[in-house]
Amino acid sequence: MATSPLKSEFEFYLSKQSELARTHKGEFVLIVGDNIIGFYPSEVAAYHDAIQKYAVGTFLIERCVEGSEHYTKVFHTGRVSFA
Amino acid sequence: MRAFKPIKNIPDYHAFTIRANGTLSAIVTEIGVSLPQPTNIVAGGIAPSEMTLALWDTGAECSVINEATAKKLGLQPFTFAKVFGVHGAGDKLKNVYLVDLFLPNRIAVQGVRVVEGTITHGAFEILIGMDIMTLGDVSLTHVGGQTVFSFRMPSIQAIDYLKAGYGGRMAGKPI
Repeated sequence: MATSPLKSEFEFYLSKQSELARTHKGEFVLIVGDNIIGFYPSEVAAYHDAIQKYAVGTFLIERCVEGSEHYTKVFHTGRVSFA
Repeated sequence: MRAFKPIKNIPDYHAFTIRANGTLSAIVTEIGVSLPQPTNIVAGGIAPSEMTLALWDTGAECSVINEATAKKLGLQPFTFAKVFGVHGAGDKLKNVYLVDLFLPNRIAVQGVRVVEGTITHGAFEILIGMDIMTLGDVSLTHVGGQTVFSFRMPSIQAIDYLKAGYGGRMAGKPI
């Protein structure tokens, strides 16, 4: 896990992912701590609403879908490392 | 052979072109980075807060910001990405930031997710990945041994060298 203050929020998201994917499929969820704050039609809309109320770095935004494909990125380039 | 037909009523687009004296081994351009703005920055004329260099890299599924650059800009993550890279084994969770990017010629791309990484082998601090390139049309040509790289947004027309109209005549038959 990356060094990040959002570790607990991400683990909370993973614990609720299946339920969120079922009830708010395709929407973006805003999470602060162990609390679901709201759902949004786009990531940018969620972000701009979140920064009105919370400091950046204290909230997590994730898509309400199953699996890990939406947050998985593949790099076929030697120009970057992720150690 | 099918003829290349220029499209009519071409929509407005933004573009930039770089021309090199010789061939380039990498496409590196200036880029501006800002915290995401809630307004339309194309119309609003907001300037980027940081200017740096970016490598255009088709091997990157999404854009990347150097870890040190993210710290310098005071970026804070809003989510994670599970990354698979060519260096090291296994997958890793990395911070993801939301930024506005200013490509050359002040082409603004708002709300771009950039993954934090350690950029190696170069002076650039950002990788422009396929997430940006797929927003428009990219061309890379080397007439007379001179690299010309051009990009426009949005995408308007496919380039297909199997079709006539680009100059010259194709040798042989299309496969």
